[in-house]
Amino acid sequence: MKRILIELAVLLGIGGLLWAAIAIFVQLPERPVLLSVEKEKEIGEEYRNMILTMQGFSKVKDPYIDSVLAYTAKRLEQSFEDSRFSYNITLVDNEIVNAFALPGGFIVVTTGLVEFCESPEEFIAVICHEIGHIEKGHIVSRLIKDFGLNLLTSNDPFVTGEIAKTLLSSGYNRQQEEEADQFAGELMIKNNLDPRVMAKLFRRLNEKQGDLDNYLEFISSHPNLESRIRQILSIQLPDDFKPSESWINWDTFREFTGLHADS
Amino acid sequence: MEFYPIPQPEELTDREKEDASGSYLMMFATTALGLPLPIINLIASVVYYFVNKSKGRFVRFHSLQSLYSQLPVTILNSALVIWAIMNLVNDNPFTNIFWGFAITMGVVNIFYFIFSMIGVVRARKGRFIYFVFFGKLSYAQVYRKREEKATDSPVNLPPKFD
Repeated sequence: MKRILIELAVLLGIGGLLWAAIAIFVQLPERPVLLSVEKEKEIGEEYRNMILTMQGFSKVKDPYIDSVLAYTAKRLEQSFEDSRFSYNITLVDNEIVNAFALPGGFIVVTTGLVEFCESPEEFIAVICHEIGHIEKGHIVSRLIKDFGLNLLTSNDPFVTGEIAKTLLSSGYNRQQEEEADQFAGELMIKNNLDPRVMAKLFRRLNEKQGDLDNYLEFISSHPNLESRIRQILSIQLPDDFKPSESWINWDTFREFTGLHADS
Repeated sequence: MEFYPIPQPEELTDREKEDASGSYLMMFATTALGLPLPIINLIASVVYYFVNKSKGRFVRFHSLQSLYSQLPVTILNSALVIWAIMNLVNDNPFTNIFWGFAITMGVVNIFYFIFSMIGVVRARKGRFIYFVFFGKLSYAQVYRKREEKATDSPVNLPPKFD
């Protein structure tokens, strides 16, 4: 009997040691990659193009705006390691204060958002937040959960259209929003921008919450705004951190945006 | 502890050897049915044991060893599947602890497969194989001589009224 128990202890010991050793020394992704980068870019571009055909989402075509958004995307992308995508930001003519991330590195922002942001740092903070959702895989995992992998990779335009509409509203849970906020804060710091401007933006949005029709994405489906503001304000800044101004000439950018926005 | 004598290969019939080796093939029950449910292997092992246990101690030993070793493998595989599903549904990260468990279970399943295949071959030849821990456990259960109850004390007794 004693010999049997010794053998059991040996079995359990070996299994436990193996588990512990692998858990300590092996680094594997925390979220499995369910779609390849290429496939994710392909479907993201498809959804972006689908959205741009919808009423109220016409792309603002202006070389100056395109160059600012392209530079912003490139600069943010290069400021963090292991970026999975080459980011593409599109400005659409829509008075609703909104920004949404699509798979594959595509981000859509509205003229309403540009109008609402009081500084370029607030605008960049929103972009960083959306990049956070993309890099953390929130969009793809959410879409797979809602629609399944087969529908997600379907070429049926009707299916693509329905999925694209889903992406217009935020469907992230609290943990995902907090992860995106944390990512955005770190990305802002890497670019010498004060991440706490996000808190200011949320506060202003919160104060205007009564007019929900105009303030769609950030408030109406974002849970626990107060706790998120607290989390942003508690982001640890480096000791020698000195925030600088962003690279966007905000007055000029808004002026060009205003030329294209609905009155 | 006293044990019944262990049979030698030439003392066993071909039928006994076949039935004994078949017990180690229950791990493929899930594959045969085409369903990704580890519990089916365990159910198959249980059924096989109870159907074959009366066919001699040699068959009973191998069936029991297969069943006992299948039990923790099934439970741990099921735990892994449930853990993975919960992570996917709740969008929880797959931590290093999870990956450690998953890889460990991969290694466990590989070893279990190898030893089961060895078991198939050796049982078919009328030989014994003793898995670590499960071998001795199964042997003790099948071959140990149980103490016989004294025959002079009566089995049936009247009810007590006080």
